[in-house]
Amino acid sequence: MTVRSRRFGLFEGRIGVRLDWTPFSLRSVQWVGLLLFVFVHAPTALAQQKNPRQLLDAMSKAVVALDYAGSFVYEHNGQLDALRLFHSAGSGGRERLVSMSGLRSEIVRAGDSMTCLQSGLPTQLLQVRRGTSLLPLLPGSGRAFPADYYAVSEAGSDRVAGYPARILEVSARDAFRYGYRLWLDEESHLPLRSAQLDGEQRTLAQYMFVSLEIGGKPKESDLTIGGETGLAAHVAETPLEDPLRWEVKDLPPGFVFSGAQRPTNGPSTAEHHLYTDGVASVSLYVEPRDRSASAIADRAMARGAMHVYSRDVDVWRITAMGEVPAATVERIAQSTASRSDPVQH
Amino acid sequence: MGESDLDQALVERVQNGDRGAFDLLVRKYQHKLVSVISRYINDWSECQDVAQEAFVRAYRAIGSFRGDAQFYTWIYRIAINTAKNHLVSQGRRPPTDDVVVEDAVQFDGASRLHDSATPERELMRQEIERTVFATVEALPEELKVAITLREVDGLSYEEIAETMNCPIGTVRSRIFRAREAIDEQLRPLLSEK
Amino acid sequence: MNEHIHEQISALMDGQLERDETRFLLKRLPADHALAARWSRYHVARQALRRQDITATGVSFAEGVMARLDADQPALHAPGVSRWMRWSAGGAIAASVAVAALVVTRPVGDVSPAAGGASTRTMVQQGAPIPVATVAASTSYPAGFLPPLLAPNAPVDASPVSFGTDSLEPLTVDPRMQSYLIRHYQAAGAAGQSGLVPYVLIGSQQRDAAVKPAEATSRNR
Repeated sequence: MTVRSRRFGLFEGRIGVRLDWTPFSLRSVQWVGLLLFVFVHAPTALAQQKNPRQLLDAMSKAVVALDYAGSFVYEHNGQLDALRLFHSAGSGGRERLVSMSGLRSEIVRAGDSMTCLQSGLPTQLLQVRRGTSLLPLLPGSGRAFPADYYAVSEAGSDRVAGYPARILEVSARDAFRYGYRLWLDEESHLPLRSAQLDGEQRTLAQYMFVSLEIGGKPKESDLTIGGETGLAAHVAETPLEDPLRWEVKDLPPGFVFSGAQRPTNGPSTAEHHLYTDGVASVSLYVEPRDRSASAIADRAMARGAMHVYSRDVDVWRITAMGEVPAATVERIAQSTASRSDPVQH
Repeated sequence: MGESDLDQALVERVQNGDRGAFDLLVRKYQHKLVSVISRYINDWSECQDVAQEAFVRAYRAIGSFRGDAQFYTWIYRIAINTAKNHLVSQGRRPPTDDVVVEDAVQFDGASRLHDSATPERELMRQEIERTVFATVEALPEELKVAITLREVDGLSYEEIAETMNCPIGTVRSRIFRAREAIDEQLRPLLSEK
Repeated sequence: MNEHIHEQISALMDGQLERDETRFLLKRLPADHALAARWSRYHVARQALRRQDITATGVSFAEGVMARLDADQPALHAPGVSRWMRWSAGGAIAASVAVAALVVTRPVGDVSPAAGGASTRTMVQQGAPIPVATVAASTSYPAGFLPPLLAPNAPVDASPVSFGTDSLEPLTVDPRMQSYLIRHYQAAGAAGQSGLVPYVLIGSQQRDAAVKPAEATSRNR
């Protein structure tokens, strides 16, 4: 597909146009947009100065509120993928992500329902939070970054997919979390590129748009799954709460308890806690271990930015995981202990 | 003790092993829950089947229900998950957007979503509603006011007694007599098909 | 006498029954079919008056639920299926699937785990991984069972490899770990913005490995 969107991108006030002209094809929108540009003479001060955190907020909103379609490369775990993304705003959002390289795989999200299709595998349906984006490596809004643990600053400008971009640097202030570098479109604030960085500024994973059209409603056929959706399976757990049996005695700085769940059909003693510093999340699972097997020694595992730490304590297996440094999951797993008496909280 | 306290009391009994209390919760909510599930599943017996499964799941999970949520909200979510799981396990796709359904649990009292109801079920619902309202309309004034203040306006017995300027015992009796009158008309409609 | 009990039912549903009477009635109600049915119908009337969505479901509905509970109870204690499998499966699953431990496969050409700060932690030598290269389109999963997200699509080199910068043990994605990962991303979605995508995408990593001709020629739009 030819991308003429850069020209369109110059048009100020295109967000309003998007809302008003959704029934038109992209091409018509461009025409109308250009005509409007000629007749309306929208002011050019749209990109007012925002501070870095406001930019992050604007980014979070743009990802959800705008229509866009584009192709990006995604480098993760030592591999490179090419992907195509279509996003349509409104009523919970609809989007579709299609792999352009390797085996066929695509994901369609409509509101909180996500359908994952992979070549040779049954289609899966998952429930996600509304507003979840299919773009990887998005760290959340500016308010999410606690200033004690993340520094947010501007780091110059660049050009990505033909758009002038401002670079934002979100750096972790300690070794318990990862940082990000984000390239935001100057006008729409869409993240054109994002990289996840470790403490030594090494890139753990990144994506970059190579082409992007902003402001045109994707066609219906671009938002629906392109393959056979025969076999399907599903995970849906009802989040349940309870007085918790377990707690983390020594949370890494900045991390707080953000909720617990229990599987509807799981062991009644199993717990899944989530801890977050506002950006990074760590899951803690505690459940009775398989008693037919002998207890394992502590194990630390990694895959890209994902770290997992698992240990057996008596009849319990404790596992902490998250896209955080190894030290963070280890500390959480090591300091997990039973509350002497379960407390309502 | 209000209505939701009663649910909480029933749940606690279930948690302590009283299955009869769960039976009462089922009988209380089955009509609403089947209706919720019928938005996803049109076939009547399948819909009932899934609704029963939802109750079974709720029973299994009841140990972890806490009083800070409404019982209905809790079981409502279980019902929706059960329905979706069922559809997916059948290779069918559940409706993709749940905005209205999510709202329905928030604004339970006003939930009127008949978009996917079959004509017969919609007729049945209308028939029930018409019967109930016609019966209330025909009630003696003091019964009509009492039951309306209770069910529609949600007043407590005490508040109704104050409004109607009568003893609480009278309120209780009036509400009961109104319910009996309605029930007499409802019984034939709800008998086993 | 009956009328008295009916009035008690009416008061009970309004939460306006005395404590002792409540206790008595809660015992009696479920045991008495006629009373239980009345309790149910009173609620239909209430829900109709409140203009809530209702469906006419008969008394056999609740009886069906209770019968299922009776039939269901023993299944919870069925031996052979470890408890975490029930967690990961969300219901009954075929035990054979439980055996399917998956390993992350090595993309051809990437052989050297990146060097990095050596950890002083004692690593556990993992047991021989069981590749599940046979998972194919024809595989059927029991209802409710989540198929592996990370299953290789074709027979591939199944030796694990570390992509990370740490020299840690590579993450072996068995069903339990997979269940953890999915739940983690579902729960964590509330904190950040990116949901499950990173792990769903991993499925495309075998592109360098042997690809079936049919798939190699298929094109995504």
